[in-house]
Amino acid sequence: MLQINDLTVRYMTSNEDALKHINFEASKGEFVVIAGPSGSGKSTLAQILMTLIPNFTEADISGEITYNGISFKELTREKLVSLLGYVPQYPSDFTTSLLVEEEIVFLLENLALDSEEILSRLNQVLAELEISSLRRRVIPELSSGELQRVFLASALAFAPPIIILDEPIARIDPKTEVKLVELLRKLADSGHLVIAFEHRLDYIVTKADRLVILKQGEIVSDGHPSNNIDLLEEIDPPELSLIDFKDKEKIISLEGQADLKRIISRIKNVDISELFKLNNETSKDTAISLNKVDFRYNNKTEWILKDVDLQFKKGESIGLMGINGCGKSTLMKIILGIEKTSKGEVWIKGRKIKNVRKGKKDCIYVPENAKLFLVGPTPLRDLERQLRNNVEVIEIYNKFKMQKLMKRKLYHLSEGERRLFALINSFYFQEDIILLDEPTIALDKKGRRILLELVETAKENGNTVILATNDPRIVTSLDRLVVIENGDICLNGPPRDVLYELEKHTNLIPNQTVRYILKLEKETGISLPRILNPKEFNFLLKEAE
Amino acid sequence: MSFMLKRIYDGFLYKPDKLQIHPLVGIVIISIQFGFLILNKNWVLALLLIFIIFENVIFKNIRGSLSILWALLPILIFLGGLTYLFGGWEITYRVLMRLLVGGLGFSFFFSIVNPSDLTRSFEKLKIPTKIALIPSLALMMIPRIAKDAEDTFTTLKIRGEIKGFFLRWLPRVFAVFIASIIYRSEFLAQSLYFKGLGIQRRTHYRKISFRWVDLFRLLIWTCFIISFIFIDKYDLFYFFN
Repeated sequence: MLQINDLTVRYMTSNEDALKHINFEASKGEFVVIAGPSGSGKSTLAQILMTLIPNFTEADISGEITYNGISFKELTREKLVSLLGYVPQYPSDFTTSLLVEEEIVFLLENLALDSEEILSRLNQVLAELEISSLRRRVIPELSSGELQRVFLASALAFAPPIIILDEPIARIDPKTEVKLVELLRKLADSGHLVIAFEHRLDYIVTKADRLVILKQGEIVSDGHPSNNIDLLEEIDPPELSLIDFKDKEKIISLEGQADLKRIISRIKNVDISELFKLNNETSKDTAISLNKVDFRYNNKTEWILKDVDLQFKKGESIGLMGINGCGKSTLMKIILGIEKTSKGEVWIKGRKIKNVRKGKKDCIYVPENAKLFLVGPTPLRDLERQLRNNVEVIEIYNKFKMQKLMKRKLYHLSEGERRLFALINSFYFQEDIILLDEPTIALDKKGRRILLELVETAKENGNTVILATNDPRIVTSLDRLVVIENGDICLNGPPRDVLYELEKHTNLIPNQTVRYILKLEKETGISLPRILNPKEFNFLLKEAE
Repeated sequence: MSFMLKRIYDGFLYKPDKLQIHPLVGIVIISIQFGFLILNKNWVLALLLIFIIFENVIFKNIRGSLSILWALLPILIFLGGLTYLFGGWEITYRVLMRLLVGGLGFSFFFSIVNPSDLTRSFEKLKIPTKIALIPSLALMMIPRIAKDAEDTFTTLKIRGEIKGFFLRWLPRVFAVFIASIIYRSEFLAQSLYFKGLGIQRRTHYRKISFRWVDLFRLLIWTCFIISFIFIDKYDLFYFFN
């Protein structure tokens, strides 16, 4: 049994406790999900459990962590490594090999397993996570989602008694999300203790035994997800998704929760056609045009993009979706001119682009690794470099209630906070085109709300915002959704229709909200919009009242 | 600068789909090349370059070597001009040949030697894992750092931080780049820690055996050494010196 007794942690660089009097117990066979807003102490707790704090980061620690009554301090490193498996939040920072299969077997080799055993586990885990095709690939050339699966494979190949995962599904597509969560459930059922720190809770909480909620370094709730899911409402709600428990069904909205019968009775009285009028006002002027674009990496035979024709309009928000490695980030890099097309043309605001133009800016880009975007020592100094007006910068942060953190050193911020600052700063570069790669990773409810607010403001200013994301919580609030599959644009249209088509025809990305809508349609006998975003959902409830 | 970093990454990246050479053979041959590189004989540098180009062609590392040539081009022009102005053609020749031989030789070495296999080979020679891992991590880090530098440079360029005279923005790029290397090193240390490096004697999931191609490479470089001895003895390239 894993036990945490009265654990308090304070970083040497901070005046506040990162974790306060944490008491926690978990036994083998349990699947525990730990949720909470950005900066609530999730990653600190994960790193404490992995003993990375205080071995690599100095901190004052009081309290004790024990496993079967033995303190972690008394366990040798060999025992700790055999006991704990870890999937970090940013796998690309933690690679130790160049080849995928080498990365997976590195831990097994260090633990001196037989070569036959290693090979058998390698093949098994590659098959389970459906990444056999990546086996001989070079790690720097993998997409972030693919790399996340490789790291999961590395932890699962050894399958130690305790498996700790820091945001395991942040980068992966929803189809893989379902498979991974099932796999974690299977591991827990076979006697492992699985602890996942996660923001994207829609599916994972339906399979977990416990949901622990952290807030400002304290555990505010701990119990079965069906008992404390309501508390997530103000912290990190799964927004408009179905939480499918054994005995009851709930729908969670930003406004609150409502049971199925109440929703149905309301919907019956609503003029649904009103809903379709939302989000349809976009400019006719084209901001970006991709004409018959082909792309493949140097010396590779497979095409990443083939014959892609796409137009992005001014004042439009577009989501790019698709399975990991499908070419979402590549498409963004082509728009930016970082990657050159093999064939075809890219036009931005009526000008044909060749490469990233020095000093000539139309686009701003926040990469998936948001660390790269921020170059100032603090978020405040970073934005000051751009706006050169301290008062204006402070006003911006006040508006988003981020003023407390704006003077903190970047490396003392949590991943979610750092990403949020990168996103806020990027929108104030006042560029016409804003490209965001996986913007919702590590973002909590507040972060996603700020992101949507920024997108709306940018649209009002006539800017084009493109988001490469598989996060269903955000794509439904955009104007258009483009799905890339096998290098081709397989679907392109309003998010609700696109997600419905995905579910109905290709089954590429299972979407719980779509399933819920279909169920509602069946029970009410009326035709509903395929996907309701929170805004539309609230509109629906208001109209019904 | 971005195109140089991109080509350094392409040129120094391990290519698993290419022909694989035993890491120890790779190390022996790169040491031979380095040994001859420091000899102050003009014809040896030319002969070395011919052999290295020959290897790059027959083992199909043409793209990698062209990438390195492109990356080196600005340095070759800059140093070539400088040494010609202040030292004459002979020094220019030696500097440029050494750069070319070093660049192409290392590009070939990086493209065919799996860094993890290098560790395994050293471990077979009873070298402690923590020491055996150092060259492997260095081989792994070079293309990764080039990639990090390229990403950093591109992001700064998109942010509009890179404009005007290069001495204005270069220190800033360099500072961000150094910070990212320190950051990556820190995480690498953490990764090695929780992945159990050095807790006990490692096993290897596959064996690395000598193959005919390794013998063939050794034969090529034996021919080189014999050619060197023969040419040097009879002073056949006297006009070169």
